[in-house]
Amino acid sequence: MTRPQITTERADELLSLAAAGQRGPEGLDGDLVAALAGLRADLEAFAAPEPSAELAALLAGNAPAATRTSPLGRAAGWIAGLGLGAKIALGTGAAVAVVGGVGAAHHASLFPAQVERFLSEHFGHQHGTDPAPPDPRSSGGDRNDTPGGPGPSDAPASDAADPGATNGDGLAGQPGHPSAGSPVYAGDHSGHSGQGSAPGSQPAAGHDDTGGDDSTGDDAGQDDGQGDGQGDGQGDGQGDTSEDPTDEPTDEVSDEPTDQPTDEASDEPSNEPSDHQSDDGDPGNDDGQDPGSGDDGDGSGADAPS
Amino acid sequence: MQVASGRPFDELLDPARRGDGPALAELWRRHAPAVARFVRGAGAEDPDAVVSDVFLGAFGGLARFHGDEGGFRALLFTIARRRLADEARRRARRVPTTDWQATDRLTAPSVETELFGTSTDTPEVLELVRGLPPDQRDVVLLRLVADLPIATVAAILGKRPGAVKSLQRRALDALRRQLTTTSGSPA
Repeated sequence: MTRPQITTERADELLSLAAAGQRGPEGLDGDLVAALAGLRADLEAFAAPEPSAELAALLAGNAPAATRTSPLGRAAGWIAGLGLGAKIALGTGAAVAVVGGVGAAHHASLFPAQVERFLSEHFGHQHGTDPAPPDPRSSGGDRNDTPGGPGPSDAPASDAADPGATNGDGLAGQPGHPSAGSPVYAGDHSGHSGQGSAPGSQPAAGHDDTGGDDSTGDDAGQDDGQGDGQGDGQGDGQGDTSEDPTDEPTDEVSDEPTDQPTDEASDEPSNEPSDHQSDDGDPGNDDGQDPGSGDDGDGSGADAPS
Repeated sequence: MQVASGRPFDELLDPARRGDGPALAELWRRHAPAVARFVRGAGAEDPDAVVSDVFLGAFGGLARFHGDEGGFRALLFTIARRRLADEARRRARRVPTTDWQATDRLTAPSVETELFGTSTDTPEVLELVRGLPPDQRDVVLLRLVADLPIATVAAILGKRPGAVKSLQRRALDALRRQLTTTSGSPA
């Protein structure tokens, strides 16, 4: 026995009957409608659903805390947020200030104490920080290195103040002196001195320009452009003193007393300048203590009888 | 479809959009029982929690809702179907355990059945309905316990009315066939 298929219209009719709680027709469809109607009755028998706490608060007119915040709570949140932001900003600013301060302090302490001292020791007045007293060592070196280099304004001052030092540096007048032979040193020397010297600073303007140009040789183009132009301009405006270095530097240097030890130094080995000074200053000691003279005396006495 | 009593839906909608408690409570009283029947019939583990979640979602979207009470009812069941689908996915990922209370509740007759004898085979029918494919199950439940017309069911399921009628026919045919097999009647 085959079972008849439920048509679409019949299914809709049966469901409507079951939803209405009515009995269906006799037979299989009646049993189906009865079963569905019983199911609906059972599901309706359950108690009304209980809302959750969040929904109950919403139904009571109180928004749940998760979705709505009171104005006081929002204000507190804003204040807390602003406070936190201010703390972050202050902390960042303080950190930047500390870093900047430390850097500035380090720079301030390092530069004058070490770097500037280093510069003053190695470059001296050529940076323009001390234009009045010229450095005798640098001036002597330049002057001795270059036959026609230093000006008269620099040479007398350094030589008169410290002849010994000048003589010592006079060794640099040897062709192989390292400071004089360095074209970089000479180039920097001439450039700084020409720019940094004040209008009244005669020594710096004079000797550095010529000395640097002559000593380097290799860097003649750069040094001449800086040193000569400035040195000449200043010297002309100051009169005789400034004119001398550029006119006849070689003659004046050679006429000074400092040329004498320089000449001697050129004859002697370059690493014994102090021996020459001590020998020249104390001839009596040499005569009395020289074993060579005693030998001569003994020898002459022995020859006399014969 | 059940006719809601009390204030007209249009008078409830605007206050409910502003979060008015009495208006929201009125909407809850009118529609929560039908939604609860639907989710219970579909086999939700915690029907009350699902219903509350459905209404929270519906109330949260009232600002964007435009329509009558039938449309709001359709919105509720649409959300309910999605919640049931989510729960079914979570249940599928969960390690299966034996819940003797749930089993006992399914097999034991309800108090009303014991008292009034309205139906002695409801648990069996309920299991048969839950055993249907989801679309067929939902069509039967929406038509049976929610009193929704074909057009509204089609809108909830996102299908054409003809497809809903076809699902409805196949579901009843399968239920009748299984009932016949269970009762021993000749097929």
